[in-house]
Amino acid sequence: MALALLLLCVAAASLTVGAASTSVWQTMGDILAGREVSLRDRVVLWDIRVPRLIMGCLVGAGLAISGAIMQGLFRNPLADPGIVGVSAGASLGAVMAIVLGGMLPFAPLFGSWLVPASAFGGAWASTILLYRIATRQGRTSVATMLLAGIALTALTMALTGVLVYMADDTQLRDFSFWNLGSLAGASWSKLAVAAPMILLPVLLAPLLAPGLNALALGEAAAGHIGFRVERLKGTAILITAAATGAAVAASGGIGFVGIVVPHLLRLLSGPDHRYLLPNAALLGAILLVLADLVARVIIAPAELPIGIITALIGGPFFLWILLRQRGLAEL
Amino acid sequence: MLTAQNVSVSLARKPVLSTVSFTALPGEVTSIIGPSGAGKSTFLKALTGDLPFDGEIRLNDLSVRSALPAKLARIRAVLPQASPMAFPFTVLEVVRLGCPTPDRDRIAREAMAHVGLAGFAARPYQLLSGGEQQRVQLARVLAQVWEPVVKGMPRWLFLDEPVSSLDIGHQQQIMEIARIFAQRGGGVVMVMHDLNLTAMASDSIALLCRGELMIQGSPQTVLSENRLRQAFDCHLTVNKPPEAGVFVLPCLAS
Repeated sequence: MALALLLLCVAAASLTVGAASTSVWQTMGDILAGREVSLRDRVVLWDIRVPRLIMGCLVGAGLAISGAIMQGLFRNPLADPGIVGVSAGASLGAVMAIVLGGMLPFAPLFGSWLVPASAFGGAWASTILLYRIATRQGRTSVATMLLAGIALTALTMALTGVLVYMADDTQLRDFSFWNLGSLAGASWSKLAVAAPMILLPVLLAPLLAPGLNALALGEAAAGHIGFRVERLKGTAILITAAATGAAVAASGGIGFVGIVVPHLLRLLSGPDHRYLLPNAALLGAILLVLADLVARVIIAPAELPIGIITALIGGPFFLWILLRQRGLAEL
Repeated sequence: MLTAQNVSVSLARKPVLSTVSFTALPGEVTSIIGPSGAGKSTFLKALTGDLPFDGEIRLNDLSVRSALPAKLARIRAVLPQASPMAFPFTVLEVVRLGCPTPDRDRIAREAMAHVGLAGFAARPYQLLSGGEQQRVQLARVLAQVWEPVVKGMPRWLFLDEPVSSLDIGHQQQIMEIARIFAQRGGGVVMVMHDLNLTAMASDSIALLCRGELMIQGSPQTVLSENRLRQAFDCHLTVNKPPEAGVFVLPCLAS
């Protein structure tokens, strides 16, 4: 409840602040009252700030909930789509769609869904690969998981590099713009694709909560309690891949949201996934909208890529968890 | 009733168990003993459906191989050997995990009191000692099958070395809990190392050696000096004082 109120406040602040000095509230009041509004004000509010705000909420919620589910799946608070190579897999998928999409005869059928769908495919494949590598007999080794993540990231980045090398000028421009990792490109048409791909996982995620709680005991024990573990894992991987894929396709590489948010929530309200998952979606949205706000004002009128802000917060945070965990339990 | 017929298990293409046939009755504590590497834990994993096996295992007339996990979970609970938890769950949250009923909080608290952890509800599981963690897991398992008999059907406890990291007082307490569960009509199947505790608590003992069942029977029958020497390949004496159970003592060769 407190988180929902906080999200409203942050959203209001995000609408108010920006390069163009527009009185948002007056404009909004004018629109609601049916009064005449200047084209510039309408564009600033309706075509730039509102879609950007909604995209920020969606991407933040998607990344945070992906992180929370992956951590439950790997039974480790250090699992995060950005760190273990899943975002890199999604990037590879997105770049494949941008560069090679034109060559595929069926590509036009996908329309604007091509890039997100391909990013989803990349995220899905890399999560499954990672799980196969890092988990043996129901136990995940953190060292293997992180190292496999490094290897996966290196491999997918190399393949992405090859594709970029093959790309023509238009594709290169598309790619660079996307790769900046920013919410600046948010538009209603992009939202139409990203919204279902992120909202569906966010709404379905709480169904996984009892299973993820049981999985904390280990895979065998989760089975003994009565969960169909293989099905649970498969669903969890699909859901994270969809949310990560859509988030990466919409905004490029924004890291660390998936690790910071669930960890903060575990400190605040405990590890029970029934509360963790919905709250992660809310706090993820808050954090990303806030980071976007900082990115826009800190060197105004220019703006910093939002990925830099999240990495500045998330990097030290990650190290802190790593050091704390080392003392707590065997890795 | 739990029956295993001609159960064989291979791990990494190496046979670990061959054609073991075995029965455990509700109302009894059945122990599986044998030297290290005899296949005790493997056999228990087959009995709980965690490993693929040849042959047939039936629990209350349910085929363990094909039954859904949810269906098996209603009639049997399994205590694993070691149980690290991934996140900082509290003791109460861990114990509640396996408990399906609406009044899970009450059952969880009763189960905690039963294993001597009444004041531990809010403690973080990860910060407990190994012995305390094992008792929390036992409470969780007990909470899952809290009533030993439901609608005339017995429920089962499978315990993999339940006393391995406990002191003598708590070992005794766990054996007591297993006995009470069996006396109330449930079935207990456990893998054990300590032969004296096994003799004290069991109605029936299955002795495994090199992947095969040597014998299954009462403690008096199974725990004979010659058989134990042969199975464990060591010097020992067995005392059977009248009306005082069975005592196994190791002896030094020199």
